[in-house]
Amino acid sequence: MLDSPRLRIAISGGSDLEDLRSTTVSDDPVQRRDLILVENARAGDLGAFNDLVVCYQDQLFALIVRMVPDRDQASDCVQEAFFSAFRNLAGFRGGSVKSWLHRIAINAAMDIQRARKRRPVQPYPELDDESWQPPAGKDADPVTTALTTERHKAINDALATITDDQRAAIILFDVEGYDYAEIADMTGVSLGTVKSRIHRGRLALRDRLAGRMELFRG
Amino acid sequence: MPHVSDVGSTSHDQHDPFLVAALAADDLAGTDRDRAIELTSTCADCATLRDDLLALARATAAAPPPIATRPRDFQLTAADAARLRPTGWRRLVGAVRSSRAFVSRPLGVGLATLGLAGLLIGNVQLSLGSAASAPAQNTAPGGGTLALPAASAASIESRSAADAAALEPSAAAASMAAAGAPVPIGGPVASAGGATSLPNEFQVVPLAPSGAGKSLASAVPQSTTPALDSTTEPIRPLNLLFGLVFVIGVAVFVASLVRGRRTA
Repeated sequence: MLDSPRLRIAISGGSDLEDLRSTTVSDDPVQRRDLILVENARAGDLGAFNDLVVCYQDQLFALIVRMVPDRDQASDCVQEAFFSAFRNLAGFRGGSVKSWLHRIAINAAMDIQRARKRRPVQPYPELDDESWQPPAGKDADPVTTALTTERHKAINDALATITDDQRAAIILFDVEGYDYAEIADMTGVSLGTVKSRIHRGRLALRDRLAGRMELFRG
Repeated sequence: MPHVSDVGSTSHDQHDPFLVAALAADDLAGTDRDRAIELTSTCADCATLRDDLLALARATAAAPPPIATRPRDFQLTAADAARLRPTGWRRLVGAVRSSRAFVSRPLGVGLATLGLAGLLIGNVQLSLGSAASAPAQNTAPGGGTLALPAASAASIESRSAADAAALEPSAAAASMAAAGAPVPIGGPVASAGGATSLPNEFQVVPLAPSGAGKSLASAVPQSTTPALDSTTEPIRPLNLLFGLVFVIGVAVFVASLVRGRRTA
């Protein structure tokens, strides 16, 4: 997709961007690409929007599946986020398209989590493909690889047991790298609340992993 | 500086783990930071807690997503796009929602104010009209009969075209009163003011020879009286219009407030 003629034209063209970039003019080619795709999608080009989907669907699914650790629900959530983004293209005010999509996806995930709380049927099921791990390097020590696998599984299991708000804040901060202000803006709470959720969430994680902390030390 | 291992952990339960967590995230300043540093340097458990929290933050950042592959492609089909594109009133709502806050908020507030003012003025006028017609009824002799002057009846009739339409019998009564015929007060004419109604003993007033009164009484059935009570007065079109303006104004304002929260 990234090699598509449309995208190359879009990146090299760069016209009609000023309306979207109300805050800062980005020199980042990815950002420029995103803004052009959004502009074309606004003009009715479904292909441009689908290019955007292709660019971000893996990222969004990776984000949402950490917050909603159920494959089907996470999948529905991401689809709903893209639907919502398409419906609200006119509401995009410029800035980072990635942050905009993340915000929509996070809101969709929170909606799903609230709905799950209202109609509690069952806790999240066990993650169904625990066997998957990132490919190890050629020189990877089997013991180290096993430890890493165990550590990842432990942290993901523990994350699934803390509160939704704490999990979202920790993922956005530690995994996605957003700062406190951005998270506060995305989740609609105050800066202090974001900090509190992250700190309490980490304390809760440590409680959940009390018997397995050796995995993480040293 | 005391060595960590020298400090007993018996007092650790009284230490604030939240403070240590904030220190681990480098969120403290001033005296809080000094306190937290003192805790971690004098309490072995607090120091371990800080190290553990840092390790957990690193592990969280390094952990892959629990499910690696997305189960499907999320690209939109043409049918999806057609379904999702706003049409009709949704486009209008979308335009309001996507408009800048400095446009939509004043617009919403203005519409709501206009609607509210219209409702208030309309209803104040209405109750003033009722008050004006009330003395004629209150000064009625206690014998249960009341002669309503024809001019008064006519003024009540002419107060509102809507009233006249809704209270058709009052027009008939007014014209009969002008001709010297008995006037039925308890029913349509008395409730023409909208806010008051007379008790049942004032239902029929024979002013002229009994034959005429009877004929009028039969012309205005008793059963119409409760239906024209003030509580069941039909909604005036103007009130409806102002109410609608008020509701639209509130909706525009609320939409402009929530707009940025979810998608902007």
